[in-house]
Amino acid sequence: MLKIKNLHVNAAGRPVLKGLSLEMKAGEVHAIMGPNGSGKSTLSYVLAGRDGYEVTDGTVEFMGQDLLSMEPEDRAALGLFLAFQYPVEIPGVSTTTFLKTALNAIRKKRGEKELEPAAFLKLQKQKIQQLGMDPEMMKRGVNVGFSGGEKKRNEVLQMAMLAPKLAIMDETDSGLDIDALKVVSEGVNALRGPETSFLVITHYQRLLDYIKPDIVHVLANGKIQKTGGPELALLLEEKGYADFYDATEAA
Amino acid sequence: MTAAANKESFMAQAPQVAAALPWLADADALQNDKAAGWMKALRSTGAEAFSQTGLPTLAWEGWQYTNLRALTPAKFRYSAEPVKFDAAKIPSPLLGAHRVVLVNGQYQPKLSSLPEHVTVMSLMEAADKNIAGIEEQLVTLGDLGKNPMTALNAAYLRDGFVLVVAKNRDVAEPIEVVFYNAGRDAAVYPRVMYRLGENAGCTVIERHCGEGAYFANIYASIVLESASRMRFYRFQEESEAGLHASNTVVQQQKGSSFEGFSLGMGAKLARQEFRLQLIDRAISSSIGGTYLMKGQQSHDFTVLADHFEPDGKSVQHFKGVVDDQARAVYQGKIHVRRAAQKTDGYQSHHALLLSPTAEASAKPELEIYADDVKCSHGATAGQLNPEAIFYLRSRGIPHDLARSLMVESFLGGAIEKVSYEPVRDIYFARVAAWLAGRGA
Amino acid sequence: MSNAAIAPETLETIKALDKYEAGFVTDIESDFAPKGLSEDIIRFISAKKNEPDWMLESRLTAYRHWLTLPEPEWANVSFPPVDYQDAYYYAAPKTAAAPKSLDELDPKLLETYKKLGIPLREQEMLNGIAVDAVFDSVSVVTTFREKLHSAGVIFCSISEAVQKYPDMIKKYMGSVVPYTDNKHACLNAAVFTDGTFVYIPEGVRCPMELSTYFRINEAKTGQFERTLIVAEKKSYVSYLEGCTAPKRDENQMHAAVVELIAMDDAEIKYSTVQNWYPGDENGKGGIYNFVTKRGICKGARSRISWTQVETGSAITWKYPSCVLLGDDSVGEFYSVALTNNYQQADTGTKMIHIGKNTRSRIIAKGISAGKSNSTYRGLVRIAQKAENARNYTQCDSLLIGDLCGAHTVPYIENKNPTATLEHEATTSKISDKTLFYCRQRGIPEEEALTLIVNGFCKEVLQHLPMEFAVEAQKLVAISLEGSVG
Repeated sequence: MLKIKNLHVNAAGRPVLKGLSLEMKAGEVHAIMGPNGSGKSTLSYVLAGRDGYEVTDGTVEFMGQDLLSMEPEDRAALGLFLAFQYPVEIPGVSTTTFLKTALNAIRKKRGEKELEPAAFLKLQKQKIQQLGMDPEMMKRGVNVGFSGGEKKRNEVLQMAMLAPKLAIMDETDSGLDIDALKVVSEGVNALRGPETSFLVITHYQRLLDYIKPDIVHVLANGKIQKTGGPELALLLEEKGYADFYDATEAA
Repeated sequence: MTAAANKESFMAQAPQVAAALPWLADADALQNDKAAGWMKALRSTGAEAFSQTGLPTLAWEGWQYTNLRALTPAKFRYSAEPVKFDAAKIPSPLLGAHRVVLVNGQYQPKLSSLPEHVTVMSLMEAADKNIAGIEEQLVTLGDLGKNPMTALNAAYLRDGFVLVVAKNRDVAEPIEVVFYNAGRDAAVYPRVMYRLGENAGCTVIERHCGEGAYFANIYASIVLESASRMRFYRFQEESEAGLHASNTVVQQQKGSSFEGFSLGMGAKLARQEFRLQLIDRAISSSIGGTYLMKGQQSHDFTVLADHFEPDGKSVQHFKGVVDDQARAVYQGKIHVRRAAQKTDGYQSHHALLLSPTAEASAKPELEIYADDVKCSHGATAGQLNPEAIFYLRSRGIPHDLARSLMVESFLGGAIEKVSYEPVRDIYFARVAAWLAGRGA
Repeated sequence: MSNAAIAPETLETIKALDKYEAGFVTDIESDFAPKGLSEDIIRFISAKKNEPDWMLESRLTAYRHWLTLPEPEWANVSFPPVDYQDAYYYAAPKTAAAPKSLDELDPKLLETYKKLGIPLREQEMLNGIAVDAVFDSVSVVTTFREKLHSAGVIFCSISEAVQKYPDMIKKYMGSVVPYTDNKHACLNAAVFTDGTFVYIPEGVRCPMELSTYFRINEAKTGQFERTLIVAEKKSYVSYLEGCTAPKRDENQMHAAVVELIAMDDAEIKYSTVQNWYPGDENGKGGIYNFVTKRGICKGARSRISWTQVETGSAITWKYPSCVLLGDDSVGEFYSVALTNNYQQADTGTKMIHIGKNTRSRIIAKGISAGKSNSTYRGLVRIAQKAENARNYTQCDSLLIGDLCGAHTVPYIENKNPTATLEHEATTSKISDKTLFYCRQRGIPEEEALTLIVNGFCKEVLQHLPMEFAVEAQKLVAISLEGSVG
């Protein structure tokens, strides 16, 4: 479903990813762990197609297509979703309007019929309830005046509504207390299924207590340094990333 | 700009243009001196421009709020003769020993003393020697048709001085510049220039003062070469019958920084214009001020921050109080040119009216042609919060003292931005003295 | 407020349309005054309208004064001098020399308005909005007259009012905007051809929205209409105004005057969606929209609210204002001005506080794209006797692209210490991050831009009646076309 081969990326003229390779199958949950500055956020932005990153080498194939040649909205239509580390505020545009516009734009690109307003609202209501969100928030500007936890919950709501094939969670746990973390994780776990894959990017093991990964990768110095099962995350929690720095510097 | 009479402002129909000629009565005689040809040509250009516009009227955009009635009829006369004065009347220094003294615009070397690495000479001498690129600086005056005060100053180009700080020198002690006006209905037109070499630094304190009736029309250029730093503090404490019009143009080169502050509390009528020109990248410029107006006084701060190139930052912070029948004006503008991306511009003005007949007007303006900028402004006007006064009184503080405390803390918001502590203290002391004198 | 969302089908429709959908010409025979401007032309107009002598005299007085007035120069707009002799000051469809009943109306006119989305047949109309349709120089029809008449409301063309209600016209016309006010208003006083008169009697809440739809059709023809609304004590009226014109290479002049008068406890809500032809993408053609709009809150506790969405015109020069004379009266101004290509807009308001406890509120949103310039110019004046007056002003500008300009020129004058004035302004652009966030959710760039801009304008758009709000959002989308990519 996702094949990243030898990906090299420069940001602001400096190499950040230096030959990253990764393969994911449908329905898998992968975690990428790594220290600050290892290139975790760069990876998520490059996959989603944000400007300002220069791919100097390598390929990314998603759902059998060349991802890197596509516009961000086309990647979204193909089923790629990025849960932002810092969700953006859009004053004056209610979450309902925003989601309806997004969902219908995606449906149209896929050649599906747009949802009737009533059907949309019903779907939204159901997802809001599942996530235990306040319906009043849907009327406010997207993320405007939301707390850190509310913003992250709103990201999960959007994910639930847009039903992606691959959801990239960029440091979703940052700034969340345990209660919010539980709610967000439950929301994510509810979406798990044979057709939906997750790429969970995080600095800490904590999130992985709630979202159990199938495979864990360690990213340091722009490359995957080690790949293993969930036990790798626990090892990292215990020993830290120091070993991997040594490994990369030696290499 | 041929016919000012044809102008019509956003608010009012245009009245007739004021008579220009009496103001130029002494300009012809001046041309018999030994000034260089280009200086004489500049005087003629100034006189010609002024004769076409006369003084600005209320119908001019930018002059709606300052009525120059006090300048008519034109009784003030210019004299190039050495001025006679009583040296004892010149105020003693505020801080330190270094000072430059002007009397009626004429540089007084005997009363002046300067620190190392600083050169000062009269404008005429500097022009003779053509130091510090003075010809180029003097002739660059912008659109005289739109700046009649500048045109008039140019028509009488002779007095004033040039001050140069050598490059890479940081002059620690402040330099005080005294503009003393000896009255007797004199018109004085000093043209001064401060030039800081590359990576130089200095602190200048300008004091404008005098006695009796006079009209002081000052044009000051400040040239800040790359990476230089200047702190510029002004005390506008002209005599009660004095009239003050100053134009201060700050030309800032790459990486330079400017911190300006002005206190306006003197003169019957005053207008202080500042034009900050951020002509290269990575420039920081801040200008602040406060005014204290009473009786029939009128004060106008008009400020333009002009961003030419990317990554500039400009800040304008003004606060003032107006009592009795006095008037105060703040006109601020941030101009961001097409190339000036990533500009950060801010302006604020807050006015307190202390009497039912006082007036405050503001025109905080943004003119923006670049899209990646952050510009904003805030402006308020109002009175002292009666509840706060009551609260203070209920704690046993007498009414007058409560008012004074409130005004001081209000103005403190602007004065606190002065980074040089000894001058900041003097500004606070001036405010306290003014309030004590009001019995309020 | 989810109804304020743009329906995706709306966006679809827009894409299918030509950029300026109102740009067609109606092929209809017209009566013209001879070209040019002179006392004779004014006599011609007055005679065409069968006016009483006092009206003609008032026109001639204005014309003679106009000859002495200079062009206003202070606005941030530039254009070649207007040749006042190279235009027609009167053009009327031959078949509609005077307003008629719908059955007698030329089908071509009915068709024109239908095409513009303004069905004039009452049974076809939505939500019962009464319309006065002004075509070039004349009002061609006024709908729902009987229904309004039974409520005591007068809603008719101004020409008709001159004939039928001369005392009211003499009393009120020119009382808020005198002919001496400015050059454009003065010209209007001399050559105005039609417009709308509304009178709401004491205690009446107007049973339906009233509206005027202005259409310029003929080439080289100026439109000079006058609107006069008088709201007696404790009355209420909401009035809407819309405008369009065909695409032409030359500039055409529209110099209107609107006067509002609100007595004790009366409320007038005046909304405009201005969509005059803006010129093409090279700045050729378009309407010069030089309009003087002013309301006076004459009575205590009266209220006047202006809402405008300005997306059209090559040049907009317009400052809907409130004179707050009555104690406790309220003035409001909500504005969206969107410019693209070579459009220039200099628009804002004046709030003149004279009475005690008067309040005003100004929310102005400027959006500049292409090579356009948009200026907010506003005056807040607190007179000496305006105890406890309050003003809140907020001006926000949004720049799209780096060849346009956005400017803010507020004038704040305070002569009363008990007044409280607050003014805030910001200028910003749509951040790359926000656009990326929308696109990551699958929303194409141009649609994302429209969504964000409509969000930016929401505070203003929500003051429009519902039908107009939807129309305004469509216009924002159309006007932004071609400003990305």
